[in-house]
Amino acid sequence: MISLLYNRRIATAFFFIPLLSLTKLSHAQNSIGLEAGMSSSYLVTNISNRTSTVINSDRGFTANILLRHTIYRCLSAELIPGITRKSYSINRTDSLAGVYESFNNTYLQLPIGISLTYGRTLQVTIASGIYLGYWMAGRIKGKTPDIYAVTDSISPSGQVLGSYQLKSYDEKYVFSKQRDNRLETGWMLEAGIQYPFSHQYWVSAKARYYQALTSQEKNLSINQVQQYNQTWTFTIGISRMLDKK
Amino acid sequence: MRYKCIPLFLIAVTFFSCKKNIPNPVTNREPVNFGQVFDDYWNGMNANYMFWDIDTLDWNAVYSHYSPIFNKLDLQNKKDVESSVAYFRQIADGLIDHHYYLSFTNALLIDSSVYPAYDHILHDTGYRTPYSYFPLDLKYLDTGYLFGYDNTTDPANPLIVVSGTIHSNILFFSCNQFSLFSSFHSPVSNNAQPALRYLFNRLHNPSGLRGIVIDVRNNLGGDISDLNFLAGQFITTPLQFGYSRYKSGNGRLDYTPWISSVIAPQTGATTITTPITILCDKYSASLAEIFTMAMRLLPNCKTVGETTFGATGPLTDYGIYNDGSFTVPGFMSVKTASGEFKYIDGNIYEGKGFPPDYPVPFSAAGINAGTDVQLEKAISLLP
Repeated sequence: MISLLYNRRIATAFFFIPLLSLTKLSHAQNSIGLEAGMSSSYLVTNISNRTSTVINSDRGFTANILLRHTIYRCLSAELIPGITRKSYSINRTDSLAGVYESFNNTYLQLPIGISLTYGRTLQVTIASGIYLGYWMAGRIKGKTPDIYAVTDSISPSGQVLGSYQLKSYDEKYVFSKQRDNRLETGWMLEAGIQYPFSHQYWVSAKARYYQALTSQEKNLSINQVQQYNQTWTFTIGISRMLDKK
Repeated sequence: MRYKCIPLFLIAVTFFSCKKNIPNPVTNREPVNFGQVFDDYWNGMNANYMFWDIDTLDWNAVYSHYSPIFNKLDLQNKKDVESSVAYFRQIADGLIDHHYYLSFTNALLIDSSVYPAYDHILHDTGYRTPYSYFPLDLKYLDTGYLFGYDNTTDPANPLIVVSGTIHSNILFFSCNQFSLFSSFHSPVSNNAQPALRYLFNRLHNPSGLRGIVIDVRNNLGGDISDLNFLAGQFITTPLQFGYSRYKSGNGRLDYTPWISSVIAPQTGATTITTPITILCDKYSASLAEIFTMAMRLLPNCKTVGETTFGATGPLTDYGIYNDGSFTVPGFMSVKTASGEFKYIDGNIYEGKGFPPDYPVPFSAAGINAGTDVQLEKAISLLP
């Protein structure tokens, strides 16, 4: 319950601050929009000591509010509060193929950036910025060898051949205060196109790249191997100008 | 203004685009000095040791304290090499893992080892050496008991099993280790096989028995497959006895979720309502403890003897879970649990041992008088 309240407070902060900004910005050339799409994440770390193990990126989703304030004709400031699922999996290979652990982590994110827009009819936008994220929830799913479920057989030479059965799990991720670093900061790059279909409205398609600068784990030990989220998002959205030109 | 924006933007992109190169301190190098020996040992433990969630040893403090000491030692100096064992003993002294065992591959230390759990037993006020109850217990058995000895399946670790009856209606079974499955199914005939066949036949046809005594005292464990192979003879439906988990990453607290640990019924097993007593002692270790804990969940089972050894974490090859035992090439091997085991009651008995329902201390006087007080207590509990 406490964590739920805490989550609500964070969520309120995430959305309330941008909305406050919106009221202030609405006197200038401002726009608001909605976008949604897919995400693809990867965990950047070093697992060179772990045999027959690879990290793969997995797909998730993203949904954001687009707030933009035009500073000058081509230059805008943008604020993109939203939710992004950052999913990746750690997979065993070779004789252990089939053993895996996948993580579906949901983050509240607040990217803030500067964007440049080029073109008249079909516009190209690029942006860069920083973001603040909060690891809101997670789900962990996987299959692991069950050491107590060994199926043994005897080879003709009398050797015992044991094979572990795999046990599945699929459960809500339980956060550890000791281990998990739930606040994430990083940088962001964006490229996209947008098409105004009236004086006030335009549709957009955007790709963004988020690179965390904070490790997903707190610094528990000397020589700790750091873990950073790396996320691509691909969205389509619609925006509306709030002020008349 | 439009084009002035571009350089600023590119500077911002360049600034943020620095790529991270993440070092991994866990290596497989052969260390060339003592600083590297210590680092590789410390980092290997940091990533592979299972019990950082419950172990009270401050591993960061170990690094701060011992790294300068090891840096001063000379790997080419015989005296320094020999003195390193004492430092490793001091470090390992506080670890909770009772499987933990250091052996040395360095030629100068080939006869040295560090076994903290045994060191603790050694310094107990009630210390005693392991005692094999076989000769004593054979006196309690009815004639016709089956004594099995298999030194062909694993000549380095011969299996001893005894099956028989006491007072003609108490089934008794004892084994010195768990390698029952491999001996039973060995293509080479051995006399453990008839003893096991007799046991299984009686368990599958328990009529006429008023009790069953299983003795795992002085049994240091063995093949995990024996858990199903033996305990599975007593049940007709799967028996969940606890949970296990493993390391899922290099972080100290990177664990998989807990997965249920279940014993599968074996072919031919019937529901046994006959009272069962398990005999265990402080040298009942590893699988012998897990067996005791699992059997204790049967409503008709009680345990008698001493608190077990406290090495409940399962062991397997490093590659299965990428955790547990590892080596510092050319210097040492570290044997440590590959998993963490939590009993069905929610407790982790690693380093503590599983207490018996009926504590009966080891009695040297009883043994000298030809009496096994623990076995007698077990018999007295049967109707």
